[in-house]
Amino acid sequence: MKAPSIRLAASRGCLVISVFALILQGGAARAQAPEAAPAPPPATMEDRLERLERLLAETRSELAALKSAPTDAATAARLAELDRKIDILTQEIEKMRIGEAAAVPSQERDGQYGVGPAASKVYAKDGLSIGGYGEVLYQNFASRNQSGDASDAEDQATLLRAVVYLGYKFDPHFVLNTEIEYENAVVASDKGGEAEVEFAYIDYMHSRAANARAGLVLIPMGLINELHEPTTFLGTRRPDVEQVIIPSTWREIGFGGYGSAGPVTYRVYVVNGLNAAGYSAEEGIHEGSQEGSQALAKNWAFTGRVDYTAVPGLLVGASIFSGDAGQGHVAPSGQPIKALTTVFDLHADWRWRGLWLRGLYAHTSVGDAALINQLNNFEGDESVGSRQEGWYLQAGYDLLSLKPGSRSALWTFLRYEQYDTQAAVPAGYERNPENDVRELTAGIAFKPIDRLVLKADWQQRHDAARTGVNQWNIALGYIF
Amino acid sequence: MRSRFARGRHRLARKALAAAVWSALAGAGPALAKVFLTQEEALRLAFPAGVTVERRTAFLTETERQAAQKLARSENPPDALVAYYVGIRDGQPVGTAYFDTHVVRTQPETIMVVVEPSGSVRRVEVLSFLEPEDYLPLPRWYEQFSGRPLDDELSLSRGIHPVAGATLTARATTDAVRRVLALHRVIQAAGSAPVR
Repeated sequence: MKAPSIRLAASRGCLVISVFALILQGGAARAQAPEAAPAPPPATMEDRLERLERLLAETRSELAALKSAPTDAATAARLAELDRKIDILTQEIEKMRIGEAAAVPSQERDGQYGVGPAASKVYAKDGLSIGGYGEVLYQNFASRNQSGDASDAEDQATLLRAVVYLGYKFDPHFVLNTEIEYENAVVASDKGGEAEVEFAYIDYMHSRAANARAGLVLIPMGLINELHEPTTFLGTRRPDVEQVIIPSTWREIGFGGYGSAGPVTYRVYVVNGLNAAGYSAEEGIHEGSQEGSQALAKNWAFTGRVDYTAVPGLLVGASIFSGDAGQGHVAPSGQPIKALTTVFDLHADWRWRGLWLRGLYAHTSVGDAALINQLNNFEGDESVGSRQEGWYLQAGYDLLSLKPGSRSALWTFLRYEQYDTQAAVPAGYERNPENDVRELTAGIAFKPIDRLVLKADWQQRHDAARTGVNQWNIALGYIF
Repeated sequence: MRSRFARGRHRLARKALAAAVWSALAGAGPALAKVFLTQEEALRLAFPAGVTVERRTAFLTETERQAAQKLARSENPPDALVAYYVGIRDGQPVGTAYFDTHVVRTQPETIMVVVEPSGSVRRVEVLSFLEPEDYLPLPRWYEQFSGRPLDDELSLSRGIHPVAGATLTARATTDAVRRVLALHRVIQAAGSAPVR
């Protein structure tokens, strides 16, 4: 009775090895299959591993049963050999799961832990990566403004952003990252949509402490500019301070480095300067951003950021952007415009259990503001602000954090903002009180899973001219 | 506890001294990419010299997989085959190391979780991280797991603080640690003498 059982076990072991070899050959084996037979859907690596694991488990059980029966020396030897082969297969499966990290440096290989050279680097071969995000926004404006006068703001629903990230890993050192964005769904002469490349840069990854980056880069300022996906901030709309004082999504052509040392992370770039001809009273420096589109590059700027994260959940940091923005412009009076523009911010973000606190202060100084006014024929209260500043504080709480094991989140939050794009203007000009804004936002955000969010909030907008209009909003956001 | 990249950093520092940064930028530098530790290097961090390391394999039954899924509160049951490494000193287990590879956003992260004989986490080490490093929390964040048992507090926004800009990594890592502790508990319960 023993011999047939042993043959069965041995043939089973051979079957396992054959299956494993077939899995490793993968696509090649499929390519050799007869064309007449309809091809089954290609199995994923996970499917293959699962099948292999099942076979191994069955084989192992049969071996265990055989071992428990009385055997002669020859049979025991064959069983031991099968045992050894199964052990090898389990190690190979483990290495396939772990990927690159299973590799052992050749100079240190000593087999102490029975870990052999990598059999597979499946993940390293995935050069192309795709991701993205999007947000749909509905805004409903009050019919009357702060003074009780009729408001001319129109309700609006729009696919605010639809974004695709495309990345390509050329090799372990060089990686391409791009973000291609459509705003407001349709790009046409009769629509307000835009198609933009928000960033496109090459990273050279050297070490955790020092890496290089070049291309169209995001200016590393504030809390929103670099992390602006809808699931990463509370509120249907980004804080206005981080749209006006820090003109997110702010990006320029440049190069620099990034990395971390201990609890400190940093990014430093040299980028093309802003174009002061785009500055305005209402939007500050926002339209001075050249967005990598035929940017005037006579003047360049430095930008950098340092964050400190010694305590888990807490981030405290500062950032700066400084450089001339004249770009060769000359005022009608004949004076060349230098327009040294410096923006800095201080920011903090703290998460503790279900609590999320966030705060930011941003300050901008613009040199030669009077000359910029001359260049753009700005008069009276149309002046570019020579000093612009703003801040906000936000507190949120995830109610579902109170429920053990919840994978969803239900945030309630409150945000107060204050900013003025004309905190100071050059002599001979006046400030427009409409640009001195105070905003209160109260809302909720429900995340059934980490990558989806449904938001709703109410915003009270007041300005010093009493022309502010309140609004409530609903937004749907996704990332993938 | 030693920091996550402590040994890796020392090694890197020595290599960095040997090659100036900018010559490295020209392509002459050491190859590091996003594999911070090999499996063998991680095991050396897990178990000091003098500890014998045994590689073992558990083949979970369907019932055990479901039990682990329930304990981990995960959406899917774990794989049936679980490889783990037991450190033994003077005949007594001094800890168990598990390796878990999971997808963060679209790319995988591999971590090692070292479990104390009591069933709580001793340390978590990142072996490889193939997402952009912007999504990788700093080493200090991973230290939150030390000493954590498998309970309600081992959860994001409870005992584990999220990290700005890396929520998906924080979630995926916390899930992985729960999964490992659940597997450890199931394997221990299946018998003091594991399958292999």
